[in-house]
Amino acid sequence: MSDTLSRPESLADYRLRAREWLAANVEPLPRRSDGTVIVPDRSQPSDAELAEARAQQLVLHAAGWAGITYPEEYGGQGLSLEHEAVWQEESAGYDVPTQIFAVSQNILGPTLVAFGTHEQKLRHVPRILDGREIWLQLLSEPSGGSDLAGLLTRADRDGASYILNGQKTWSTGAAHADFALCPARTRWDVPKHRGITMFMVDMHSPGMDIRPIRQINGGAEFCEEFLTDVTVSADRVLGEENEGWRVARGMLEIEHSWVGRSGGGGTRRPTGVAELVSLAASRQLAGDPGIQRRVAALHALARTHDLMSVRVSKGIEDGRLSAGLSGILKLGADIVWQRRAELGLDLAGAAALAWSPEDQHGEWARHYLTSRSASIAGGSDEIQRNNVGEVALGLPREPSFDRDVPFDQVPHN
Amino acid sequence: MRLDLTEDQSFFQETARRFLEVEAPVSYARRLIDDPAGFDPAVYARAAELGWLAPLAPEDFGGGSVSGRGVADLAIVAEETGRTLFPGPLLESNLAAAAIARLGSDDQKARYLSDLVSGRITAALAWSSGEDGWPGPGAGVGADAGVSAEPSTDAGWRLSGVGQLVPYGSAVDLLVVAAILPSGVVGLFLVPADSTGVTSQKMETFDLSRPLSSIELASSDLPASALLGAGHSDGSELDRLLILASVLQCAETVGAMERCFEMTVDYAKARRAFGRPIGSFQAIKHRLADMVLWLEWSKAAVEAAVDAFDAGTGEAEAASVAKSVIGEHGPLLVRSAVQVHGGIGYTWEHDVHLFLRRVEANAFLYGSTDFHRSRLAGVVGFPVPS
Repeated sequence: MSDTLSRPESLADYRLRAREWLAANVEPLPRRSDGTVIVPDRSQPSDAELAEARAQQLVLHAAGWAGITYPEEYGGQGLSLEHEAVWQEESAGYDVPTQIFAVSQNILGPTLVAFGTHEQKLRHVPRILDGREIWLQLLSEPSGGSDLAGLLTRADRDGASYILNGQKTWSTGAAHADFALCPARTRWDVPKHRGITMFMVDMHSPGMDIRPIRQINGGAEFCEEFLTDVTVSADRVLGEENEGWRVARGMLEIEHSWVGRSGGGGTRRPTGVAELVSLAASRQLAGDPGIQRRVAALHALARTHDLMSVRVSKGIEDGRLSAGLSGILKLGADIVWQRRAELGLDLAGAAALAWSPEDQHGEWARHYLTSRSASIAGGSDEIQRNNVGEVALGLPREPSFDRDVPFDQVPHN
Repeated sequence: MRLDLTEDQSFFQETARRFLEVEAPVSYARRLIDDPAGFDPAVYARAAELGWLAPLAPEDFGGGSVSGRGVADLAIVAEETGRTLFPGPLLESNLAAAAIARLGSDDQKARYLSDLVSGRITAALAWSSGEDGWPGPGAGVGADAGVSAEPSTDAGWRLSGVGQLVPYGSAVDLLVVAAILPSGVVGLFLVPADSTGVTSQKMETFDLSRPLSSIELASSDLPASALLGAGHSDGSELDRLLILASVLQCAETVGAMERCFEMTVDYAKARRAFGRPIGSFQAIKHRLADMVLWLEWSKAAVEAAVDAFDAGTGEAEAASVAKSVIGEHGPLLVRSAVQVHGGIGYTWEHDVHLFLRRVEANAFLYGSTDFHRSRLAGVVGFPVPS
């Protein structure tokens, strides 16, 4: 309790402390000739990279730079979103393992904090923060992603355990994850939202078969999982049995808020325009007033989106704005990312269609291709718009054919 | 509305909203469309009693703000008046008071400030040649103000030229005229509207709830004391005033966007087609969700610009960021609002076109969207000619 009595550190002091610690303890990232940071792609880390990231995370956690907004009780720092933003700004130029732990620490950890029992939190949250455990979400299924509550993976009670069978897909970083939050259907004779339970599943369990999916950008950081008689102990339910939809909704709100706030970890969604200015210069377009205005417009929007995310996140947090507004955080971040990628492709022009192997212009082709996932992954933009419309604005839902029908009577893929 | 208003500011905001709902709802603006002045002095005087002309003026002249942050307080007023398209030279008179408070001599302050704050006189700004809605890049040396000033034989000034797009220009008592001095710098002149050689022409306007006039100065002779801020010769003060104007205008635009959006949501819930509210159709719902995003972006941009102005750092950039974001998404929002309203939205009787007109017009005034994006080119790292 002594902490609450001592005077809180100001944001400026916090920034200074972060800056000094980073300079003394972490390698800076390499930079291009124009000064912009080259962020390494660790979306598919090797075993060695993974081990190094975990070791680094242990050090970060011990020094108090992990779990900045998490409760102190579970290994966090108990600080504000502003502190987290300061840390992200200060650490952006350093080789900290943000990307590998991003989903685990920004979506799964906060979901456990929100819905777990004290024992569940004590057991996992500190390990999530220091990197010993990496968590992911197993949400989408081949039969449908947007209609999340229509999931077909089944969990059948067997004494003190549940037996899970089914297939999940589009899970980020499943190849190196330790645990997952995995909703599965425990009742089939009730409407779809009322028969789902959220399980904490060990990704190393027998019967869990993980395969990478090759994406349009050539990468394979997403996986599909085949679950065959995966056994999960009954005390590994998060929330109550058949109450899993509530947990899933909470997790999605946490995700949208985070993606909107940070662009999804800072490494995955660059929003700065310095690279575009360099690109324009390299294509002899830097003096074109029309090009200048397009880049300036993107700068204005990206900066404004960051400010809006803080405003709306805080408004939701203190109950002055509807939680349904979390959808616009992701929607806006998607638009900024895609607009940047499209402008990059435009400016690169021919150089993004064909490039020599040592040339950097291939970056813009890949960046563009990757950006197409923004409006699909993590809840499509259409689903975000539904949520904003229905939850924040109170517009009526479209009539649906499955809402009040027992799930076993609903036609599905 | 901001989420971080102080208690005093909240009271100020609530008072403003109640006053406007009772005294000056949109139907009031509509009634004044063909009025020669374009506003009702009695209502304007009551607005002045609420302190709406005080935030940027010193206390010695009846000024003062509820929070000590004049721009933030005035932005509250601008947002609320935007919601009902409140007619009257309110922002313009505030800007004139700000200019006089900052640059004026003791005599100029004594002559105008108390009357501006109390609403006894009104003012408008004649500073645009029409191009870009701004006197010129940087508004300093080489600016294109449309009016030029030459020393007159009796040690005063002789102004000639035309100032375009002057809100309420045919109804106000005092004109703040931007004119190019012999040095090439733009100077600001305090010109009583009844000065010799000053004529105004009320224009046909796209925005029906805010009249615009063209002000002609035909060798208008003014005393030396008409020049405001004689000691400031680099044009930076005019630039500062223009930035302030665009920030407050953005706040007004956001108020208009917000009200227009609320009307649209209400309509989408009430209007039925195919046996259900049209807001239940995704084609409409998704449009409305996009409108929420555009509105929240716009609010955040205004907040940042207001804060930058009150803090005195980065205000030029923040204002241009706001004009860029709001100049793009304001028009998108009001166009969508008309579309969701369907046929009724295309009728003269429905209010939505009044908001459409205001928001589209504001995207041009005080610097067009393109103009402000060009101003940001240097900030994002492009080489800009000095």
